Amino acid sequence: MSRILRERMRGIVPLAAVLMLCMSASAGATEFWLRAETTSQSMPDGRVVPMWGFALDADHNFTTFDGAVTIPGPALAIPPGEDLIVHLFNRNVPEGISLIIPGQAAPTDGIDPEPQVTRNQDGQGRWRATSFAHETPMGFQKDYVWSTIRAGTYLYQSGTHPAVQVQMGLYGAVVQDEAAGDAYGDPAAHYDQDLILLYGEIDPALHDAVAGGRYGVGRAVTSTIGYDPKYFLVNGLAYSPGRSSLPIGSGGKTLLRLLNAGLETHLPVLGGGPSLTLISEDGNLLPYPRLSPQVELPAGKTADAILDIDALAAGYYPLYDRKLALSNDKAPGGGMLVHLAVSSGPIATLTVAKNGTGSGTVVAGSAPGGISCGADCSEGLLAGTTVVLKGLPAPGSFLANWTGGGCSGMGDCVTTVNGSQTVTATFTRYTVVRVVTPNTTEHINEKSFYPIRWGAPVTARRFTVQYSTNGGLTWTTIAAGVEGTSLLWEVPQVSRTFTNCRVRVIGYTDRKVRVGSDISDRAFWIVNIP
Amino acid sequence: MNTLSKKGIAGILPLVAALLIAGAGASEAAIQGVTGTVFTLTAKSGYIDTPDGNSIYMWGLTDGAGRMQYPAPTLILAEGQPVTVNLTNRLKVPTSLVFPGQGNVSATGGVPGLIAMEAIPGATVTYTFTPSEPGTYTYYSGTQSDLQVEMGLFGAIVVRPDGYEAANPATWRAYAHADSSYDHEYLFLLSEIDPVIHEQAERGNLAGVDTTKFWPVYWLINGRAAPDTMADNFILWLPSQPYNCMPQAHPGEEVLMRMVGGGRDMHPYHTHGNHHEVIARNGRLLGSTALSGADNAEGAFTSTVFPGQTLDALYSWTGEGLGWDVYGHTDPTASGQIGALCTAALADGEDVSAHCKPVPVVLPDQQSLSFGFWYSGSPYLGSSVALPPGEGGLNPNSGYFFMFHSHNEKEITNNDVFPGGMLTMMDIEPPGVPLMNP
Repeated sequence: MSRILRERMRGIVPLAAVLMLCMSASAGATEFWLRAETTSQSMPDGRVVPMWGFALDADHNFTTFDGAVTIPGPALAIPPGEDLIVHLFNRNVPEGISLIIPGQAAPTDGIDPEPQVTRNQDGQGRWRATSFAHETPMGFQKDYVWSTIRAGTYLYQSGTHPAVQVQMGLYGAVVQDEAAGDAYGDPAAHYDQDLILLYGEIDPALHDAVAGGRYGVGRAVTSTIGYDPKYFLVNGLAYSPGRSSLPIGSGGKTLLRLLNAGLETHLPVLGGGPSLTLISEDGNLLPYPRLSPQVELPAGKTADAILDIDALAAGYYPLYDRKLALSNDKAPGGGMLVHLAVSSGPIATLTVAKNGTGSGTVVAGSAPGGISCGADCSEGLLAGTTVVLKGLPAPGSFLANWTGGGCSGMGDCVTTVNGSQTVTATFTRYTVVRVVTPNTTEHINEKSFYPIRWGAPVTARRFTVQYSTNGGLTWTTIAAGVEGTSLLWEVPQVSRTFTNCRVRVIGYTDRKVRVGSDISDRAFWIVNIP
Repeated sequence: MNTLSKKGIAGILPLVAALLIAGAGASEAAIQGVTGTVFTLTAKSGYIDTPDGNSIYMWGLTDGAGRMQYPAPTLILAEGQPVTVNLTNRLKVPTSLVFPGQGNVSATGGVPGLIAMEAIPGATVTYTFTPSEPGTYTYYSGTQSDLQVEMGLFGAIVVRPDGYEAANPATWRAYAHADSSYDHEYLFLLSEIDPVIHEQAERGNLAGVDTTKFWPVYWLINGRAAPDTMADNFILWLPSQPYNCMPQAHPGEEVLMRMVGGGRDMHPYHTHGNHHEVIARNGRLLGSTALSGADNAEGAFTSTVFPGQTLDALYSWTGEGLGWDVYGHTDPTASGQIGALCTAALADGEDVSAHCKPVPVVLPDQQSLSFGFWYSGSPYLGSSVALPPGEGGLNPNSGYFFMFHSHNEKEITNNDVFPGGMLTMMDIEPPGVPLMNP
């Protein structure tokens, strides 16, 4: 017998055992009431994207519309041994929808013993399959009945027009354990706590086209061939500085249930050293666990990995996508990043306050995030966590100073949160362009990195930054079109020390109209280092 | 008999041959890199060249002073030996390094970022870890990785198992098991380049970079696109791309392919001449238990290398199944059959079933043929036939050349020009010929 065939045979025996268990332990069906609705979701950059989502209808009737619509849909946990019935109500999604669970049998409607693929005739009278299961039109309620369920981690999703409907948000996780605390009936699958990590993407142009009636045959967007995702979600959220860490326990074993409802491949990597123990793919227990820091998660894939928390120090462990979907549209520091918190020990609260004549936002620029102030101005953190706070002045404002937490000055605030503490950022309003640094007789070494800073009125949005080594007779441009209020200058190599140097900053509006300019008040040196 | 033990036996004779050749003074390791326990790396900008004449702005690392290199220096480490990596940042943006698969990496001297401890411009961060498991790994920037990995801040790590001695081929194995023994090892660090992003970075327009629009048009192995992959290591005209990828072996020898996904796309890496056997993934032997070797090895002729992933595969070539005696041990009395008059001994690793069989066709007249660069003029290993002026010429020892390339054929181009990209040749040299790239 070939080696590979032998392996396959090994897989079959446990499978047969699982099937027998399911049949013998048919304790009944777990019922969920899911309501599908149109909704919308705000991206970290403020863009509002039309979505379709599911809500868990808590009172089990579809007249009061209780329960919040979420993307992904609510996680459906089926107790061990039970089957599944979902009562689906399509409140206002403007086309027929349905439910399937790839990896499980096709659902029936609870009336007809056979599952039904929905077919419709196209304009030329040809029959086309449009749905993997019976459809629920807008305003209707139908049942989706699974009379056997295999234990494991699965996606549920719309089985109708899935290229669009799943993308629009009609997806979620459905899990069943073989036994309590044992995902697959195997010692390798024993766990103490679990965490669902459901990956998805958003192509906002597609969502706008669908919501705006511009998607479909004969319309502006005819298919998903031009799929071009700009937002990358874990559990429905793209990373932004306000995102808090996800707890994964303080001891024992944690089961990470990884699912990809997007259309592209993603590769979650656990940073900070530890390897994951991959125990299953697509709801199938692997014959041998695999140790790896990263998990291959192509579209539609599910995988389960065990993390031994006892082997980890308390702290925050980044889980990031090695496919590098790590931006929110073009803004860096976003996308498929979450911080997993191994928490034992005291929690301290870091609070951010703002004062001064100007305004701005303070965000956490380091793991584990949790502050975007803005509105989210405090976070409980494991005592001892070092946090980098970044002050982002609004147009017309300048980050003048930090106080508290041992921070001061105009750069980032790096503070270690040993006990609860408050850090205050002072933003100052400017009505004219003013060079802030270098503005005195300081000595700056050649080939060093020096932050040039300036304040400017609200109309000035883009800046040209120049320096002079001869007191302003001639100017060399360092950068043009700079946004913000600072620029890190790589000071040039010089053949001798120049003692009459100045910096000039010229501000322009977005439409390139000159607002004003300023030159360093005093001459600084660029020091030649022999 | 499973495939591996078959291979194990097949591997014994060639190993003897390798020892003999090693005695002839050609035993230098073919994976170039930096060894030791303390590394002083500097991140800086620079340029690389592509075979179509383009010059691309990059961010890379250098070991010590000198130009940045693409990819970053291959760190060749020893199992259990603590390692210190000092990263000094000469870029205008913060940067960092992550070492996936290395347990307990600690960092000092940096400031925390979203994923790793970072060095701000002009500063140094120091990482320490102890590579506890042998194998093939990668390291790369953990700061805005969607941009910085694209810009060139990634490299490979090889961790030698206990007992490895560079001068003793009997100790050459990738993991602590004989299933990973090899005669030659080569690195296949795969990456891509979208030059638009690099042009924006060169202009200082980082705010304009949109990594969601990533659209690569160059595909590289060890930082070079074909045909530069086959030029020598450290050639002067590629000063920032020191590493080649020119695998060579004799028939029957085991070649360890260390494949690493360095970029952000998947690449279906494909071997001609023979299938390969994937023995390890992400630095772990494919074994059912820690002691069972590679009993779950997977045969393949194409292995998808995911970004950030490493695969180790064994490849060997004997001419098995080709149908003729590649050594030209033909029966001198005609007929082409194995006969009493064919008294030639079997060559090392030779396929017995083809012994003494001549090539089964009459070769067309040269005027009816067009020639490749690697054609020797003869179907037999080590023999050649004069070709018309200007033909052939890249195969001085009359070896067999098999293309190793991305099977995503789009990726064997240089900015839309075929051939190029993620492609190199596996050179099977006649027995006894010293390998230039052992």
